[in-house]
Amino acid sequence: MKKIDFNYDEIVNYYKLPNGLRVYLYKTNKTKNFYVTVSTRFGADVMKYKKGNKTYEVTKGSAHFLEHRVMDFSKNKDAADKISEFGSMANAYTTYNGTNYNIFGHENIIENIELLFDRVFKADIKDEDVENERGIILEEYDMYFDDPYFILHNNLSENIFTDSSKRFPVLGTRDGIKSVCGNELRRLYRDFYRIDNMFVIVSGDFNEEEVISFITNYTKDIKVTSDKPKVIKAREKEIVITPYEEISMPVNESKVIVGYKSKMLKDMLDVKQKSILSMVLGNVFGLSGEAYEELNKKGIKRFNWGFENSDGYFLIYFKASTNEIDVFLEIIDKYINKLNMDEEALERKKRAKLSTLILSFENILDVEDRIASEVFTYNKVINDRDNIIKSITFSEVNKLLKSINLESKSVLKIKGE
Amino acid sequence: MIDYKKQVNDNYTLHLINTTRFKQINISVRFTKSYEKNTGAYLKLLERILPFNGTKKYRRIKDINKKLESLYRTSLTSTFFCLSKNMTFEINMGIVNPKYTEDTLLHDSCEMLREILFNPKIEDEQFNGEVFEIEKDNLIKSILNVKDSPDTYGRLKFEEKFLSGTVYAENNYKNIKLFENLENKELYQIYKGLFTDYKVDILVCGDFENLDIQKEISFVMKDVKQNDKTNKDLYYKIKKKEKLEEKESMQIMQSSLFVGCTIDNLTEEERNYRLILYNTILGSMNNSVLFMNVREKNSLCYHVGSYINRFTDTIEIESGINKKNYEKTLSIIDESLRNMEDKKVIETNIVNAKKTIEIAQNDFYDNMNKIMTYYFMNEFTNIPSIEERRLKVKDVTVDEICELAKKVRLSYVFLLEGVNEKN
Repeated sequence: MKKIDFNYDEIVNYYKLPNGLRVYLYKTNKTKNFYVTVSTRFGADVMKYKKGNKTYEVTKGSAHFLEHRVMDFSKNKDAADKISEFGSMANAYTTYNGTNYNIFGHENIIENIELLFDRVFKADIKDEDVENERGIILEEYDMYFDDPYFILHNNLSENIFTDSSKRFPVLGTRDGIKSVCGNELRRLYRDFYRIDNMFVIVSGDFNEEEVISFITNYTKDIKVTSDKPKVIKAREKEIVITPYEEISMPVNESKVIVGYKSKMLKDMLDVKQKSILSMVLGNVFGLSGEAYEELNKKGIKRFNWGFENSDGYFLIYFKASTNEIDVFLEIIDKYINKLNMDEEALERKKRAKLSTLILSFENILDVEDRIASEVFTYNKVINDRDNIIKSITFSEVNKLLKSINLESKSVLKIKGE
Repeated sequence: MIDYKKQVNDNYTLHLINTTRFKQINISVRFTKSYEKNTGAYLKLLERILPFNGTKKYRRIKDINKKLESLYRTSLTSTFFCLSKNMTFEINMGIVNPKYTEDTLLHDSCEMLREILFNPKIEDEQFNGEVFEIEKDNLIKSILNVKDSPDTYGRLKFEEKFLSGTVYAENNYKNIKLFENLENKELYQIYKGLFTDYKVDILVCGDFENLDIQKEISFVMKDVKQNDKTNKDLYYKIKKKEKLEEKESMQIMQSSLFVGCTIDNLTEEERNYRLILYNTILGSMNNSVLFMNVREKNSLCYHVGSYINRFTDTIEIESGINKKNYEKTLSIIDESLRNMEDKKVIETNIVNAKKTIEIAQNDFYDNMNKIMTYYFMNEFTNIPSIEERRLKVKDVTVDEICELAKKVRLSYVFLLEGVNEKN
C-alpha cells in the first residue's frame, strides 16, 4: 500500500494487486455514504487495435453499447433487486478515455461491491439482449441530436480532426449503433475488460481492511493473459478536413463555433500545458479579459470557450449563440492572435487554480471523478498538481504561447430555417 | 455535525450554520417578499446588472474579477428565484476557508461583497446606460432561446397549463412583454427597495468563528432595514381537472412527454413523509415502477422519472419518447399509477425505497446548498428536520402508500411532438 498525499489534509491509499488491478481508497468520515466505481481504460477513442497477428477495426459506438450491456439489470433482476434492497444507486458512463461503472450507497458496502463486480467482471452478452438494447441507444442518440449545442461541437470535431476518435461522438454513429453485433461486443469485452486494464476507486465511509481484503479475494482468480491488445493510435494530421460549414436547422438564434487545432509541445508536461492554456485563455476571454469586455459591449453574451486535447493536438474552441456571427468571429480572431499573460496575471491565475484544488475533495463524487479522469487520461494519479501550478514560470507561458498555431481552423454556423 | 444558531436583528436575520464538513465558507444574502410579476422581471435583470455595472471602486467587470481571482477565486453570484408565493434576490459568496489560504481572506472577501451590493456605479439615479441596454437585450434573447432547448421549453409549456393560477405557471418566455418594457430608472428604484422593503436573511455555512462572522456581516449590512412583506402561506390548492391532452409540434427528433397528476386532500403527514416515499417508488428510485414498466419491460424511452412539488400537491412525470409510442406510453403510465394502489407492488418496493431515501438524507449533510435551503425555507413554512423526516419515513406503511395512491389523479398531459423522428 502506498499513501498518496494530495495536500490540504487529504490522503488516498493506493494498492496494486498481483493481477494488475489498481485500487484507490479514500476513506473519510465527512459523509455517511460511499461511492464505489470500477473502470476500464476502454472508451470511444479505441478505433483500431492489434491482438496477436490480427488487426481489428472497432465499430463506432461499441464502447458505449458495451457499457449498456455490461450494466445490464433488466436481465439480471436478482442483482437489480439486491441493489434496490440496499437502497443503492447504480449507474455507468462512457467517455473517450474509458468506461466507468458505479454504485452509490450507504450500507452493506461489501455486498454492493460484489454486485458491481459481478456485473463488470462476469458480464454475459447475449445476441438477443444486444438487439433489445439497440432501440434504447437510438433513443439516447436522438436526444443528443435535437440539441443544437451538441451538434455544434460534434460537427466541429468531425470537421477539424482528420483521424482522431473525436471525429465521432462517444455514442458512435447511427450506422454504428445499428450494425454492432454481439460477437464484436464479446470480443471487445474479452480484450479490454482485462483486470490489468482496470481500476477501482472507493470513497466515503467504510472499513478499509474489509474492503481491500474483499477486492483482493474476489479478483484473485481472475487470470491475466499475455496477449494484451495493442491500441493503434490515430495519426492526426495538421490539416483540417472541412474549414467551413453552414447548417440549417430550426433554431431561434443562430449558433456558431470556431475551433483551432494546434500541436501540443512534446517537452512540457501535459498537465502543465493544460494549466497554462486554461490560464491564458481565461486571461483574455474570461471575465477579467479584454476580449470578454469587447464581446460584451457588442452584446454577445451567450458565448463560451474551452479546449480539449486529442492525439497530440489541442482543440481550442469558442462558441456562441448570436445573430452577430461575423462580429463574433472577428473579435475571436483579433484576440486569439494576441494571446498574452503578464506576470501579475500569472500569479493571480495561479491562486484561482489553487482554490479549485483545495476544494476538489469537498465531496466523494468529486474525489472519485478527479482520480478516475486522471487515471483515464494519464494512467496514473497526479497528486502534485498544486506544485506543478506553483512552478509555472513566465518563460514557460511564453514558450507555450509561441507554439500555438492558428492556421488549422474550422468554423461551423447553424442558422435558422 | 451542524451547529445552528439564529440571530434576529432589526435589520436582518443571521443564520449561523457551523460545520467542519467543508473547506469552503458560503455567505448568502437573501432579500425576500411576496411574488409580484413586474418586480420579479426587474430582479431577474438585476441579477445580470449588478456585477456587470461595475462599482465605485472597481469600474469594470474585469476589475471586479481580477480582484476576486486574487482572493483565491472568491465567487460572487447574484440570482433571482421564487419559492412558491415568495420571490428572492440572492447574492452568494463562496470563499476558500482562510485556514488553507490567507488570514485576511474572509475580511477582504466581505469587503468585496459590500462593494458589489451597495456601491454600484450610479449616474443620474440609474445604472450605466450601456450596461443596462446590453444586459436587457441579452436577457430577452436568452429567454427567447429557450426554444432551442426542447426539454426546458416543453416543461414551461406544460406547467403553464397544468399549474395555471400559480407562480409555477409564470415563466419568462410567456411574460416576454414585461421584459421588453423594463426601464433603467425603475430598476434603480427597485434595487434601492431591496434595502428597505424586503425580509433580509443572511445564511453563513462552513467552518468559522461566530464572532468573526457577526462582525463582518454587521459591517457589510450596516445600511439595511428589513421589512417583512413575505407570504407565510406557501401552499396552493390546484383544482382537480378532467384529464386533458394537448400537443405542440417542434422540428426535433425526440418527443417529450409530460404528465401532471393532482392529489386530492393531502394531509400534512402525507405531504411531509408519505408523498416522498410514494414518489420514490413511482419514479425516482433505481427500479421504480415507471422505470420498470416504461423503459425496462417495454423499451419505450431512454429516460422516465417523476418529481413532486410540495407547494402545489402535484406530481410531474417526464419522459423522452418516440412519438409513435405516445398512446402506449401514456397508457402504461396510467397503469403504473394504478399499480401504486396495489399492496403487492408497494410491499415489493417499500423497504428499498426507504433505503434510497436514507441515502438522499445522508447527502443533505454533504451539500451546502441543501443545508442553507432547509434553514431558509423554515423562515416561511415548517419543514421537518432531516432527522425527523428520517424517523417518520421509516414508519410509513404499505397501506398508507396505497391510500395515498388512491388520491392521485392523472390530470393533464402535454406532448412536445418531434416531427423529425427517425427509425
